[in-house]
Amino acid sequence: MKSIKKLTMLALFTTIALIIFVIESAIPAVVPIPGVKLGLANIVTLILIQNKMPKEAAAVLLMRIILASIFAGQMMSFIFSLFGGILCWLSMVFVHRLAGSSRIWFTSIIGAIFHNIGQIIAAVLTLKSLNVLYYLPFLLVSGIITGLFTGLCAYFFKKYIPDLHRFFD
Amino acid sequence: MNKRTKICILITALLLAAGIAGSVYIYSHESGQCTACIYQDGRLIQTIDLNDVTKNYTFDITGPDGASNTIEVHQGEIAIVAASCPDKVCVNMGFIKNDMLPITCLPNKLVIKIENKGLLPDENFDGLSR
Repeated sequence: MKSIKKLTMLALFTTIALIIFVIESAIPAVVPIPGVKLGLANIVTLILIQNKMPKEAAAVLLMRIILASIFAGQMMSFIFSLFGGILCWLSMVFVHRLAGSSRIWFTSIIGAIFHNIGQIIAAVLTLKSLNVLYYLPFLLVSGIITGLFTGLCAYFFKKYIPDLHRFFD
Repeated sequence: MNKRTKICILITALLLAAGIAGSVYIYSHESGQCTACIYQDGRLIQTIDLNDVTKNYTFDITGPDGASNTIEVHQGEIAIVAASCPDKVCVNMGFIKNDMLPITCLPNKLVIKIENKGLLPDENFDGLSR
């Protein structure tokens, strides 16, 4: 029974993340720098990490990236999302241990920055050019702003979300 | 506010300051050199001496899978003005005139940057951009 509950919850979280991602991708780019975006789908990852479920967060993140790439229909965006996603997850799990739940905004900022770093690494590899590294300062600033926003979203959402461990343990 | 929160705010502030300083430096950087290099899939396919441009003109670069980018050249600056890619980030970047920020069209694997190097068919590539 527990595993079915868990499977259903993870599928639900993946669906939520996917919907947020699809809606967000319909918002036109405000800043003319590649890679600047809100990253609202990260709220789902943040909430799971906040609830001490990093493995489940990774599963949802990975499924969301695979499904989003299928919907977007681009192999390129899969590589970029994957690099960004893996670095983002690793950094957030690490920082969350140090910063704690009450400073989830900080975890989110670091996650956003590392997501951008991952995307730049992917860009360096696919474009075979080191010049894209010059985007880093711009993406650092945008990562702090968007990371703070998504982090605060996750923080204020927390009280509306039931104790997830009820479904998982 | 406890100590950990202060440390978190301090790190954020430092990163933000570094980011803003770096952005301002890159954005305001002036370079004397004005050779635009156009790369497709990491390969240099065309160079243009931007100091030598007397009349504005546009041309198209096509790639695999129907990819196409229209490039506009002015004296000292270059831009992608139309593209087949879905996100149009390359078009939104507008004109570039220094050697720091390249115009990048990821879906079409096209990079335009201004570099300190001679015109094609000069074979003096640097190791990085090859």
